[in-house]
Amino acid sequence: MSDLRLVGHLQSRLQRALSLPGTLGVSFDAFEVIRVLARQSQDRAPRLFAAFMSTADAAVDGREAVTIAPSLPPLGVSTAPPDPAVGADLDEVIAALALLAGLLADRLNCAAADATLAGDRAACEEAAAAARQIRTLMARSDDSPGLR
Amino acid sequence: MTVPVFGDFLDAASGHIAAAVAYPGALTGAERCGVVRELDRMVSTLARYLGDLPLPDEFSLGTTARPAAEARAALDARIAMRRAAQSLRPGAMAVRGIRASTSQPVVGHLAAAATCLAAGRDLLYTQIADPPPGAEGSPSAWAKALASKPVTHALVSEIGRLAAQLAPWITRVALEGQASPAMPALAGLALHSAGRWLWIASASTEAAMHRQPSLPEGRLVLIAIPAHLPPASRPVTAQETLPELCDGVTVTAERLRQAAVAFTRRAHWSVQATSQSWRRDALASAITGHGSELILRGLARRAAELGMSPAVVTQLHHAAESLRRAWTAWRAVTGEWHTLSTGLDRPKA
Repeated sequence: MSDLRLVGHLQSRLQRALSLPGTLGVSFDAFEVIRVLARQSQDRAPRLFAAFMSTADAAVDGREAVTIAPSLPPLGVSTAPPDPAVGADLDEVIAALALLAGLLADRLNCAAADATLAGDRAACEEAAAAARQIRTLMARSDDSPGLR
Repeated sequence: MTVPVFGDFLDAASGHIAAAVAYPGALTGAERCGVVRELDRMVSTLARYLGDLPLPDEFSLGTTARPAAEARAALDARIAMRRAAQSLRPGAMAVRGIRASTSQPVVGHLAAAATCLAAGRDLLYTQIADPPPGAEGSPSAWAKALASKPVTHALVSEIGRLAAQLAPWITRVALEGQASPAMPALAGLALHSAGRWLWIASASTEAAMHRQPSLPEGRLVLIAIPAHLPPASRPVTAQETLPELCDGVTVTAERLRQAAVAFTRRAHWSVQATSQSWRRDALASAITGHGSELILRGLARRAAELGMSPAVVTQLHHAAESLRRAWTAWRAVTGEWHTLSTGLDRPKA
């Protein structure tokens, strides 16, 4: 599946995930897709290099946090890494990443609230913080065409 | 900051001893008790100095080889100084409960001399403390100098000179104090015995020096041995002259060198050194390098627009190119840490 369609696919998976293990599993994949897309986009505009590098780093933080959650399901059918997003418009990539990160933050916050195990709660809170950071990095300011 | 050297303490101790033995007045019994106490400290330190020297063992088993004559004399001096210290110990114990003010000049000078000698030995130890295994440049050049024959010889000579100053004076004080009821008999005997052993120590070192005179260069090096301590920090201030800046660079480099050696002695894996910290370091290096390259490219462009020297423009481009290579390497390192942390796959059940 190519670039931004994969992001859309993950968004719908996130919205459909009702259980904690399901949310954790999709979150792991989503963070990994964000990381790969950010790395693929980092050299496309010099002024956005730091933002994309930091986004990829935050995605690793989120993925690491999810990995230590006790309820993370074992290896199943994982989402394949996206194809190179060079063809996609950079603005679309940024918007898609911001949207996915926002959704991730919301779903992980809900998962943290519902978690019964302390390990799950801590993992979800930490991963949600990483998602919020990605959303902030990818958000546009109102008066600037670049990133905030 | 002036780094203290061994000569500072040796000269001060020698001056205090000279002042003490030149005191013209008679000592009361309580003052003699103070003398015994301070001599106990001082002679013990002198014995430790000689004990530190790299001399042949006094009772080497399984060997019939006799040490060289000067080494034999130094060994005799060491044994005699140890006997002097052992003689004073019971005397110092006997006067333990008797108050003797250090404001009395003789007692004060002896106390100061004992302190200076102890500080001098501590200073030498900063040079010969165990270096870390495999540490660069260890042992230090000063440590090697301290273990050298001319410097060892000079140190034996200095100890012998101090013993020669003390021995006749102690004997006189011991004889004068025999009738004093304020001084325990054991303390008087200790003084008497210590004086005799100090005579022997003095004579032994004199014999060693007679056989092989101490070179003046040895003493010059001995008194110049500095404390092996990091210089004080020199924070950068707004108004510094060029010489001050150069001096600050030297001081900081020396502090870093000593810190590096000290760190290797207790090196262990830092709890802060995690995959996350390495990843953050690589990220920060990549981003700052990338930003710096952009700045340098901008400067080079502007320099060309302003018609500045082509050499300046070229240098700016070279610097930018070097930074580009650096940050792209850091970017690659960041990518490796992304996968080294946990890998791309979820843990298996």
